[in-house]
Amino acid sequence: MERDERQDDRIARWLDGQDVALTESERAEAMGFVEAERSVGRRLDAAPPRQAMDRARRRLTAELARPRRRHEQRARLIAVAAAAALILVAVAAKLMMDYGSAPVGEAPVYQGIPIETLVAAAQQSVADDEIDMLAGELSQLQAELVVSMPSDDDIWFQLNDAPGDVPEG
Amino acid sequence: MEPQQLRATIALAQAGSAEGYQVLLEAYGPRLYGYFLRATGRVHDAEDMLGEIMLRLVGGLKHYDDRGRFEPWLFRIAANLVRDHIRRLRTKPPPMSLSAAEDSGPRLADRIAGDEPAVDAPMVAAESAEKLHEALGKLDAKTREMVLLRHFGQMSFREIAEMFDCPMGTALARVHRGLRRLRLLLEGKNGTG
Repeated sequence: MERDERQDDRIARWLDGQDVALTESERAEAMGFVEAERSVGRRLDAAPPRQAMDRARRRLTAELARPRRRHEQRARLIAVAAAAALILVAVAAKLMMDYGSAPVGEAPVYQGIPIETLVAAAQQSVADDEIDMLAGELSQLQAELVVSMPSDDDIWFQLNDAPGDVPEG
Repeated sequence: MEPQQLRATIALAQAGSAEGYQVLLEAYGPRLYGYFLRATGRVHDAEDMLGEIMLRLVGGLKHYDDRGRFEPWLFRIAANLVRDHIRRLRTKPPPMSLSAAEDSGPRLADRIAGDEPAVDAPMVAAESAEKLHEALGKLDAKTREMVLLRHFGQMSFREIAEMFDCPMGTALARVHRGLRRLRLLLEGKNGTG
């Protein structure tokens, strides 16, 4: 049977499960299609070799492990950033208390240390490999700050000793 | 897989569960592998692509909308992988081999035959498998893709029509013509009828 486009469309819809009333010849065409699909389909099927599935499983497992590592690193980074922010706030507060009212004509010391620079410096120093070490150091620092605020000399030493971190204006 | 079970598995995988992805791999891996093997004609490529699609699934499943059917969605990704593969072959052809037994590249005869994507005999000993690959290679690329997506992806004609941007009747006519030709070729006839 030579089919036209309209008949093809009706047969396609019927084969898709739509409610289409086919003519007898259209139905015969549809059944012929189903039979061809079944007989060729049998020859198309190919079972994957075991190593193919094993390899896919391994790649999948490795891929799924990757984002978890990224999440863990991100969580550590956030913890370190929070600790760094706390330290900055504590240092700034201490500086404010000690040098907040400078003599006339002299700028307060903390004015030479832009807060953005301190924050950027803290962020830049947080490389993946350093996260753990830095987190430990920051926790320790934070603990020390809570226990006893350092003397003025200590603060100066820390600020001046950080090479390139704090530009002196 | 039952729709209910499939939904639950997808939800599990979307939540990041490795088990969910593993179940999807077990359920669809064989069909995906079959699709890749028949589309590329190479065992190694099919294996690579099976791993590759699982990686894409990890990245893409969070965007999957459960209102649609999963198989067509999955096999669209598979079809894109095959298309990428063919594009790569065209721009950077792999080394050629004169032997059908070697799986390192398309056979010279196939490369000379035309610029259709090479569907050559992979390292499969069975003569029937080689015959099947040759027969598939004689279909035009679009018909071959439709036949394979219909069979392995269990796509409806509506889904095929949408994917190839053609009327449903055209999709049916192409697939039917492709199946008839394959059948004739596999019976040893020339399949031009």
